[in-house]
Amino acid sequence: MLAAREEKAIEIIYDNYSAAIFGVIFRIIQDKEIAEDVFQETCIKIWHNSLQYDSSKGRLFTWMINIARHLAIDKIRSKDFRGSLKNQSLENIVNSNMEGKSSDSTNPELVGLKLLVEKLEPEQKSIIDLLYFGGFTQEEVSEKLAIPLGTVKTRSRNALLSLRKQFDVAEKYT
Amino acid sequence: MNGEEYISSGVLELYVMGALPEAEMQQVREMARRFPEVTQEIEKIEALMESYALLNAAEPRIELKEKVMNRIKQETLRVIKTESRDENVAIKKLNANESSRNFYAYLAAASLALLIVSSAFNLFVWKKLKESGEQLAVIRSEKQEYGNQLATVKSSYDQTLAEINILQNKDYKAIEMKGLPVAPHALVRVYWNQQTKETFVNIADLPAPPAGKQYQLWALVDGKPIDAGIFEGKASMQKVKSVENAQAFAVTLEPEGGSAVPTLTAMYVMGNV
Repeated sequence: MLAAREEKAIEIIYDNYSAAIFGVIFRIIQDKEIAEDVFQETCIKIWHNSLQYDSSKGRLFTWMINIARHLAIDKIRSKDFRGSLKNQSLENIVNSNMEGKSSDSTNPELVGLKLLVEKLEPEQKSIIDLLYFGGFTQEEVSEKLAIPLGTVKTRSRNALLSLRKQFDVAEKYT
Repeated sequence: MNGEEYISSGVLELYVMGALPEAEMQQVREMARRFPEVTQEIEKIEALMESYALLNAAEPRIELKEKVMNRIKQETLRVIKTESRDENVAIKKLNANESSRNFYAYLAAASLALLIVSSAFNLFVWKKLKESGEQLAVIRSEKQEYGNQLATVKSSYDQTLAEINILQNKDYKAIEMKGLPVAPHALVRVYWNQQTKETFVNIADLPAPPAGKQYQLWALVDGKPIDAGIFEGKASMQKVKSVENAQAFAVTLEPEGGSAVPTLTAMYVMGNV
């Protein structure tokens, strides 16, 4: 029922964003088969919800990535997932190194940037990864890292500021 | 709390990463409405997290694309079927108007959204295509221009080469014809091959012929003029008729096409062999 032009439009979006979306899902799930299932669900959900996307409320890419993150995080927190894999704990998320398992077709241009990101204080990197890829709330992080809520806020702000600095450095040299 | 303080509190980072409870999310949205700098900061953080997410980019298996596309096609069918079923039920409930309006509103919205995406894409492709077309036209016309220039250069090169060959060839005899009272400064040279009898004229200085007139070369044998052909008023080496025998050469101005006998009053240059 899709007109050829509409199909083409969906394809364009798929071609442009599938790697980013799949990458995020895989990063969170760390199991290729399950990640592929969640990826398909994500694509369908993005398509279903596309009418609700409101560009005044945020960027398209952020919107899509958030759909992917939420589905992936829901998945790792579901019972059947916990049963099949060992509980996705702090250590797993933080230690999953980006170039290691993440993909067989990593963009080589990004390798330099990855090295820069690896330069972040482990403390800073872990807080970003826990929040962004782990789907942990600030309370959970505060509990797990045994730091006060206020510290979670300041630490994550500082972490993102350092990250921003690293990207700025990278931009200067690319 | 002002916008700046709010920004430095770290709450926006948590907001973008989705780590706040719903109540606090609401607060952030409220602050973003009130302070444009908060909205800007949120956009910056979003862009940053996008870059961070991109670091993890990994191509999904190629087969997945077809799977996803097929599923979307099926979903479209299913949605439309469900909607039509709802419509039927609604009709039974004598609520037909409302429901079918919703259904068509949905379809219209759906196709409009896709239309916008595909129109944007079409526009993009069309612009690209137009740009490429324009570039191609420019390149073609440049190519044509270079082709013409090359042809000109080639022909003048051939000409020069031929002239050099004549000048270097010992079989050619050069005869200088000097200006007569009609044109005292005129100077024309004849190159006459003693073996092959081929003959060329080369104008060094000769007034441009008036409209309807042409210069004609004559070979003088025992005082009798023999037609050696007409030539143009330009400076290059020009081939004329082969000359078997001559004691002198002369040039006269004749009506276009030449004459059978020279107009002696319009004799411009003459030279002995």
